[in-house]
Amino acid sequence: MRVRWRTLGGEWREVDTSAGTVLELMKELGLSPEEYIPSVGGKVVPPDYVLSEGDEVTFVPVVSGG
Amino acid sequence: MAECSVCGREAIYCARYEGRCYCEEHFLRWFDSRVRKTIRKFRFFGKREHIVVAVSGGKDSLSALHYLHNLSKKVPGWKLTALLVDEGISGYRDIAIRDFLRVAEELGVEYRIISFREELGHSLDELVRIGEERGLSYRPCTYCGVVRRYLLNRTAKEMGGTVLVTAHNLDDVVQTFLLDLTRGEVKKIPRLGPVTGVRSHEGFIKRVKLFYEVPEKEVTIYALLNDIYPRTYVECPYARLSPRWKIREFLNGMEEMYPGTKYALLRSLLRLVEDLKGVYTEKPGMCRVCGEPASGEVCRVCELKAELGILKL
Repeated sequence: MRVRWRTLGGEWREVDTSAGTVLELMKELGLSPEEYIPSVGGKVVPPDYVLSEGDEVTFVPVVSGG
Repeated sequence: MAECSVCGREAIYCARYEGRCYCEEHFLRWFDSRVRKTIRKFRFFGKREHIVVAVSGGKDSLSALHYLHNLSKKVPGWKLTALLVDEGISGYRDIAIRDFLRVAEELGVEYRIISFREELGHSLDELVRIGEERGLSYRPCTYCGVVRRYLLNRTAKEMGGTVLVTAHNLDDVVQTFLLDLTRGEVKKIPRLGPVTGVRSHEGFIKRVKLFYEVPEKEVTIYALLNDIYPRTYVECPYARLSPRWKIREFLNGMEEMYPGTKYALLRSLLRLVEDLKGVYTEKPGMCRVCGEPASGEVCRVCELKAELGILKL
């Protein structure tokens, strides 16, 4: 399945993934669920959100960094 | 997908440390009830207050301003203003100020902006450069933290504030707790309570940490749901130079593996703050240069200015 993803403020990228959920995708991408809030189509979703082909996932950083 | 533990609708967030999930509506209610509980439990505010919210333009302080703006509508004796310290980090604070102005104007909150440059004659970027030229070993966050705290305290008093609110959250507090422990700074631990500045010195305004019991992740969701999350995400260029960054990664790793770690640390901290009451009783005096509170003859800001060669003692 192909989904598009980005971290907020970053470029959109496309990934071919076997991840079934957002949490699995985060693990695949090396993003900690403690450090990013996932949102799909502009809506906040929980880590067990089931991904669909063509989903656009934005990971919003939790840390404000200063 | 996870269901809201209150109403059974689709959840947007699951708090693993308590095994419950929330939909958007019940997340916001739960968030509100917890912040109110903190406010009541630690007696943050009285019926008549001039509340000055320290803002940076980041999601935490914008959330604090938004939250207190809504709450203040229900309390006729409260006046709410915002105070922003522009330390002058090029490509960072200028963007955050735009976000702050957008939210402040939407909410109709009065505000004041002060800058390092006006107050010290130099921006933080310049202070860092001068420090490097003079061979000082301070990290940027040292100048920033010391001067910011000083200016917030002094300006909030000038504005007639009765209480200064900072948007420190659970993560900030437990990170600082661990930092203090790793540096052997047990003396500083009493300052990590939810309320500070009240009894220690008349030169200190009462300071409260609004999101003391709320994880940073949940403040982020509050900001997103209320459309106040900064439009442009920019990280402070100095953030990763601080040991806090490592502590933050460590704590997030622990929380991921052992949900509830951060709350357990907070409970330990609160217990220590209570146990250490009266142990470190050093009462600050007054800086002989600027007249602000100081633990020695001269306050930390005047000391730093002297070390940087911008003040003669």
